[in-house]
Amino acid sequence: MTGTGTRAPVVGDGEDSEDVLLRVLRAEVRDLAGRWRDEGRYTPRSDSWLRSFDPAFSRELAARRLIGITWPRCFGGRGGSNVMRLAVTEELLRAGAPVAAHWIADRQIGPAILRHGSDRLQQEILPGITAGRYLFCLGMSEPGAGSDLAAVRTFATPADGGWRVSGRKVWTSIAQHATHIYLLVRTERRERKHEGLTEFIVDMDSPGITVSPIIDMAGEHHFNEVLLDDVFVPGHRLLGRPAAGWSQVVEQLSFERGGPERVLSTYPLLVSLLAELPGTADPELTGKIGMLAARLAVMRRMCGDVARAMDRGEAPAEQAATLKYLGSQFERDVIEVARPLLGTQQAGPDTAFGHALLASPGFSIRGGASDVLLSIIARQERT
Amino acid sequence: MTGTPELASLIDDVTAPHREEQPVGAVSPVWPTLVKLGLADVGIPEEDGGSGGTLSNTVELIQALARYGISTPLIEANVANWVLAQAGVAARGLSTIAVTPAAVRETDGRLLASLHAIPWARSAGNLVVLHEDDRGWVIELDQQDVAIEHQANVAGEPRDTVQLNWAKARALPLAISPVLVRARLGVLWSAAICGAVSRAHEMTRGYVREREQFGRPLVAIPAVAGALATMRVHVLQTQAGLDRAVECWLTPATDPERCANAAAVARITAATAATEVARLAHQLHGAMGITWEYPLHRLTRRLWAWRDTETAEHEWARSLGAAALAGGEPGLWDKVTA
Repeated sequence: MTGTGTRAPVVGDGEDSEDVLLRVLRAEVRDLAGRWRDEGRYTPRSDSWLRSFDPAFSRELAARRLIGITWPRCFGGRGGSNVMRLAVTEELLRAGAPVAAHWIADRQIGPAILRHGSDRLQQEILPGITAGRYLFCLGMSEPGAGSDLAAVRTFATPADGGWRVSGRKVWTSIAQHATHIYLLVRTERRERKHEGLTEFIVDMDSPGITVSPIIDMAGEHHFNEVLLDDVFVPGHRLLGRPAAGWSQVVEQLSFERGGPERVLSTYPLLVSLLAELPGTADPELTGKIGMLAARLAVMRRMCGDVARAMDRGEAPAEQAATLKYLGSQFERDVIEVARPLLGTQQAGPDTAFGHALLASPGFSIRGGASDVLLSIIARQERT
Repeated sequence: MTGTPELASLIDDVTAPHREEQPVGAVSPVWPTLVKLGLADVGIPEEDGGSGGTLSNTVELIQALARYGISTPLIEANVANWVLAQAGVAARGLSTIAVTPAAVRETDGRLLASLHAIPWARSAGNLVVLHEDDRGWVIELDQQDVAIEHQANVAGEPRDTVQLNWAKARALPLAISPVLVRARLGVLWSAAICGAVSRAHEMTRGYVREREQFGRPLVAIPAVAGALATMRVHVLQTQAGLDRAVECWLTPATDPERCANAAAVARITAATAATEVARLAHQLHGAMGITWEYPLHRLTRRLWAWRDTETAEHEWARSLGAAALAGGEPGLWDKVTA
């Protein structure tokens, strides 16, 4: 057996060109977010990818070509890797930056349109996303379709030149600001509820759409109810194949689950906690921080593994579900570790602690409830 | 991390006759074969007297031995030989190692110390002692000023007490810090746990798919399926932590701080997994799993012991937490969790 083995260690630098590229990208995002923060243009907060909305920041990212990094250049993307995108999204979440305006479009709608959309749909929608002009919300859940997403009842019937859609979507974050909505609707009534579903891309200013706020327990407005009353959707806005919506949306969900926002939602609280501790803490708290750090390190690694698998053309559904399952536990445990220090005084709803705690019940619900994720992993175990 | 097919098949061949061994506190009869084939010194450069290969080869071998519940002093011997090779010192026979904060007094090349939980001391010819203050020695154990008292961990593996009563010792010119040696031990123990948790998970998966109660396989019960999935999640985490820790050693220049932090991450993740996987494996096996005859205890007893072997889980957590606190958020992000 031959090999280099490990010689007496020297601190050094084994970077290749991709490492350098990633480091430069990270530094760019860090500098940008740092400047906006220092200028008072945003305050870092937990759950920023869902709750911290600023189209101006999204347009700034767009101007730097930091939206749609993995998409082809002809649509304003960089033709880059998922590993590159991860470097950017990690740094944005780390900074608790206001990224909610473009997050959904960048993470899952753009990729879904790239996978299944017609040329016309791609040309119509994707450049608007990479320019930071098109803001998307997700019309998936309904009053009767939560964890059981295939139970959607919103219905589209063929009409002259397109479709007419009626129904009700709920828990639709940022619908009040969005220019477009992704819709999962039923186009055929079949015996099996997973069949007959179809995806559409719809303009939010279409006649017949009414958005009503649902205020969450923090007193914040990001959820909405979206009422669709005989909304006309042009035929070319159908995404992919009619009645193939279920398999397409399942793919989309695996993209939705495997990202760092499933791990880092409460990272800004961890930043606050470290800032409270001047380099040391008592042994018990030090140990707890060590345990959190170990979990975070492993999950960051798993995020990288998911991104690398996607770059190889795989759809790492099990790893993504695992990551989301672990991530939501971690996000919650950060709050408990911070609690003795940050949760006893000055812990109102509008503090770092309050933001994290009041957002926390959503961590293990959105993107698939934890029990559902565990059952996805369990299914692989049975066969 | 994927291993080399040649090494994998060699490991398969060598371990095949030894997979049903019970833990008896003795070195497995496979050990002389491993030594003869040069497998005990895998991951140590050939120019230093090792067998070549990288640490990922060592990890592969340790994972395989742990999967099959085969007791060997591979981790200790491999790291002791690595330290001796780096120091340019040759030692005959089996060497074991201890990195210790215990009081060690030294006068005229003789040591006075009381060292606990030394793996395989009763079977070893030499003991490498590294003190946390950067002093190091190698001691021949077959001398009258050394007393060895047999002790064991909960798996029955030798963890002896060694009394050095002004025993003759050779000082080692240390090329590597004790922190890095402990990191290497940590990676290898993570590999052992990784092998054992993945085998415990597989064994349990097989059992709950075959065993029927209430007229159907146990795995059809949602709570059982959920517990099995939880085990799988721990296996994936352990593997991910191990992979990133091994990678630190494969770059041309090794960064000691990065190696130490990554070893702590791997070791904490593996220890947490060991606790949960052992608990769930027994829960899902029911009474069958707690018999001597059924092979599960060969894995779970070791998992319980290995969580805190060499350096305990809570000590790793504290040292990693201290590293995170010392560097503030930039340290946590770039040095501890990157």
